[in-house]
Amino acid sequence: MPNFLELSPGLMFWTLLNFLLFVAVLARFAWRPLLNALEQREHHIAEALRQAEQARQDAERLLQEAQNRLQEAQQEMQRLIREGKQQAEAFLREATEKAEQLKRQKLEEAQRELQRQVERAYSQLYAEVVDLVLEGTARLLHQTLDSTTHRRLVESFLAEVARQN
Amino acid sequence: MSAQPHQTPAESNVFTQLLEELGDHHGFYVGPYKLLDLPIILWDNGRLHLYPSPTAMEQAGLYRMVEGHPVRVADGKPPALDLSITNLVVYQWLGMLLVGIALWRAVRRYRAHPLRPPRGLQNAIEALVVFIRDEVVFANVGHQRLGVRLLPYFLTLFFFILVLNLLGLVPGGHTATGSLAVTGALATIAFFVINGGAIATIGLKNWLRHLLGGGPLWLSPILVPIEIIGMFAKAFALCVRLFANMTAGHIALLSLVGLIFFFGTVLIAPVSVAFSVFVYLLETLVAFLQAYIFTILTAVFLGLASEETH
Repeated sequence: MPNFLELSPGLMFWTLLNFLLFVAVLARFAWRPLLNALEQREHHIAEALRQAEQARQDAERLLQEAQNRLQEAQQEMQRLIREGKQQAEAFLREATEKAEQLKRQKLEEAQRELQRQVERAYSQLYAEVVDLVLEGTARLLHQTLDSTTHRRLVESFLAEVARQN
Repeated sequence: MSAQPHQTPAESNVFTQLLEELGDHHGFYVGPYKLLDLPIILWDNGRLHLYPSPTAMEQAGLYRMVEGHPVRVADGKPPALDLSITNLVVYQWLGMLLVGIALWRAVRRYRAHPLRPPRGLQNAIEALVVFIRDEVVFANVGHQRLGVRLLPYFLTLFFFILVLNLLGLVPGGHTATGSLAVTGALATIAFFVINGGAIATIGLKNWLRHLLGGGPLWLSPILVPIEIIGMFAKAFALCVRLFANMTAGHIALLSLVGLIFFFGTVLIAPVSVAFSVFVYLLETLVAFLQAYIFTILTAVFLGLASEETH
């Protein structure tokens, strides 16, 4: 029988011993830490994936919220602008009306005042004219003079009046 | 033959000489060259005989080497038990050392950075470990807790067989798994793992019920022997499959190289070399494949044996 077909009990014994020792040593010093590390990493990766998914969902939700807020803000802004415009227009219209009214009022007052002033001036002028006429007449009555004299007198009077005014 | 590697191989016995390369030897050999003497350990006549080397043994006068085996000087019979450390034992140690160093380096990195992605050697080991764990053990051993507990055994089994197969492919290396004693020992352990695991999981009663093969009681005289034979046949098949696969490739290689001597012409060399390279690559595939097959079959048998009764 060729050498390699022998079933040597010594080799079998050593193989058993080697293998069983190898299992015991590797189980304690290699497989346990290795398998633990693998499991730990698998957990870690699963956890990281879960967190990433969570974060993605959160981000999506936040983005949605932000977009909603933005839209709301835009709507609010447009509303405010519209209202502001309306208010401004209303204010302007009101102010214009008031100004118009005030203007009319002032104008009327001014006209009335002017009227009054004019009337007063007229009355003063009238009174003064009366006075002058009276004075002139009085002077005429006091002196009986010829027409030349009358003329001179009146002219001098008129000159006086002109000088006074 | 290994003692005289420089002898020109005669055409008549070249195959015998080459085939003897496959066996076990007293001494550490790389290729046909003896690098170290190994101690001889004999159990004979009720006591242990220890010698540091075959030469020392022959000088002591009780035993001498005949055709590579120690025999008694007195009556020429082999000793009761030859427990010598032989070439293939050293190759096992070598393999264990290599696996040990590789795993030690990987584990060191796992300890240093448990959460970093693996790289290099660690990555290769992790790929194999995860594959054995998920695809071989957990996929076939239905009982989860049993699978977890026996995982170290399966992982060690795979790496042990793989490294021994590969050591046999290193030029000059000898294949420990190409020896019936080695594969027999592994199959014996597998036998105990399969049946021990089954008994531990489903209890002795259910395990015995498996022996009925699920048939009616009156068939038990036929079924029980068949099941018992099957139990041993599984282990025997594991043993022979690995041995034969590892040896067959080597024999094919040796035969191809032997053709050169057989025909006595160098002209056949290109054919020999071309086919040798092909067979060598095939053997590399087979080295991985057989390690995988031995492991997965053990897992499958364990899974079947530890099933609850159908």
